[in-house]
Amino acid sequence: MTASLEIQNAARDLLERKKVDCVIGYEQGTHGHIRPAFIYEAEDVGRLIWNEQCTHNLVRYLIGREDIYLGIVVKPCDARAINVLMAENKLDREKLFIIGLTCQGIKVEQDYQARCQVCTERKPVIYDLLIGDEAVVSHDPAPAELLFEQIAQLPPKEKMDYWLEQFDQCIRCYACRQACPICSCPTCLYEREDALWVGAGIGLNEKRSFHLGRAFHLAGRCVGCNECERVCPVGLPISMLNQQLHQEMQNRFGYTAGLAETLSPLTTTLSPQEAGS
Amino acid sequence: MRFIATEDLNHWVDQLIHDAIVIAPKLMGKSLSYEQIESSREISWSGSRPRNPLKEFFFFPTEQILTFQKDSEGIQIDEVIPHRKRIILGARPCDVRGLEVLDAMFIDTQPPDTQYKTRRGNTALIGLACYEPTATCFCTSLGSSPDDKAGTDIFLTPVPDGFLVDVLTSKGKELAAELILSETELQPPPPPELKPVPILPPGHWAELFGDPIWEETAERCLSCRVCAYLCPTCRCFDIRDEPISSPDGGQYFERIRIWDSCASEAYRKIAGGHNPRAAKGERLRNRMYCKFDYYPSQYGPTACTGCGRCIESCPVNIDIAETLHQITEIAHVR
Repeated sequence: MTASLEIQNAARDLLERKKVDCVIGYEQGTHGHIRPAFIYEAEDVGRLIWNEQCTHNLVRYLIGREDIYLGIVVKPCDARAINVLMAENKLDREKLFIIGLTCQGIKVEQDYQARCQVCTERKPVIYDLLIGDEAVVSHDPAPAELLFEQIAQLPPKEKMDYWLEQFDQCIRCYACRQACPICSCPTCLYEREDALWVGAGIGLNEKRSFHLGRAFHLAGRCVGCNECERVCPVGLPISMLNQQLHQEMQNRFGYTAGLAETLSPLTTTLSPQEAGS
Repeated sequence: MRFIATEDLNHWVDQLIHDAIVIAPKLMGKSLSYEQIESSREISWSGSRPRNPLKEFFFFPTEQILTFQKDSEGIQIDEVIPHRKRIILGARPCDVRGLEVLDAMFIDTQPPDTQYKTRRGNTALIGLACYEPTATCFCTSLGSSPDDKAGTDIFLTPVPDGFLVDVLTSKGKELAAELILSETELQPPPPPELKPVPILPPGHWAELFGDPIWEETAERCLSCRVCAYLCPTCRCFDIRDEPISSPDGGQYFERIRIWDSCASEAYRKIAGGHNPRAAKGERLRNRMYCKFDYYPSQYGPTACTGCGRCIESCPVNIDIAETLHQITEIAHVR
């Protein structure tokens, strides 16, 4: 049985037995795109599909939906976002049925996405039902990290020039923030009415503050799904900022976000010196 | 027809750069973008429509409209008026149409918008026929076409080794004085055909207001602003007063106008925190009604040019053409 059929069967069962009100999964969209689908009736489960284009991190749609019981289709990276949100008391596990999919990577056109080329996770860390062959073959990691390493090694001035050139292209559409499963503040610091910390203008200073600030807020929380980068209409390499902070979290705390239901140690853990002072 | 070789055209552009700001399609990463250029070598004369709409050169993402200073004498206010002469090259028909749509509100409705109107007057548009449409383009359904010359001062049609040239206005004639043109037997190739999309005319929308399609389609909407900020006709803005740096210790402020979008959650929020358009479906419905019902009823033109940018860039495949097909069907069934 294909994974799509298994998802459909699981969704039908959940909806018929009224275990959930809605199943969030993927469906075929227009122009060859896959898109998020919200299935409320058992008769509609045939729309649900699974393939190597199912890129969206659907966990985004769980935020603020405490009103209903939800079923959700997740990949390994998506599943870690559930752990992060649960640790932050933003999700009610009781109201959630997690359909976990094993994943070999998500493709953009013919090739695996850069993040998938270096990913070794094949099975979600949290699920109620697992679909897919666990013994999937891993593909050879490709040199997707090259640009990241090149930029990381630049002298500070050149590094700053590189990033300012990138931020300059930003149109402040907030697609990165809106697609992110972790960016879940009710009022974003960068969009306050009173412009207390950063102005409302779509200018270089504001854009720099937004991107760097957002990256820091995601340190130890970002699961590396790279949806922020995928949705960016001007192609900013946003994931590099997240990768840099992930590396810092690894080096200092040996921590990867969402492997378990734990809070980011960046804001919760004191070093012995800090604790003693 | 008159013809110019690409080399001569580029030479002409390099002359223009001496006296004016020149904006043209340039390759940025993997996609074309209208950018200010310093040399004709930066221009991409081929390719599909650039990723950004031309509106951003007339209705800036952020612009200073006033500065004010507070001192012992009182408050001094200065209006900021743009004055530089500009030439936009390679303007695609969908973008030029977009400017004509915006003119209806910013210029033709009293009082005209000073900044926008001044920029339109200061700027010459050199159009370029569009022989590489994207899969999401549908300008022909909105009364335009890939070879639509309307609204341009000079119009270029690509042919082997150069361009056919139409000089259309007095502004264009003045600019073209330095152009090295020759007569040619070449004729413009037929424009590409685009799949038609049904456009429900204003007046037919009211009955669809309560339809479940809005909530269903918008459920996957992320409430970002990609659709509005890449749209050649979306024109909503916010106004803020913000302090600016004052090296002499004085109190300086600017009044800025910044893009805004009805897709964002806070757009319609009012004093006291109430949000009359809190649901995503209500916001998507507003976007569609604004384009095809409210704007044409209030100002004349339909506020969509069929450029397809919103379809191409929506992170969750909200497809305006698909929605237009669906609602036309619903309207006809009724």
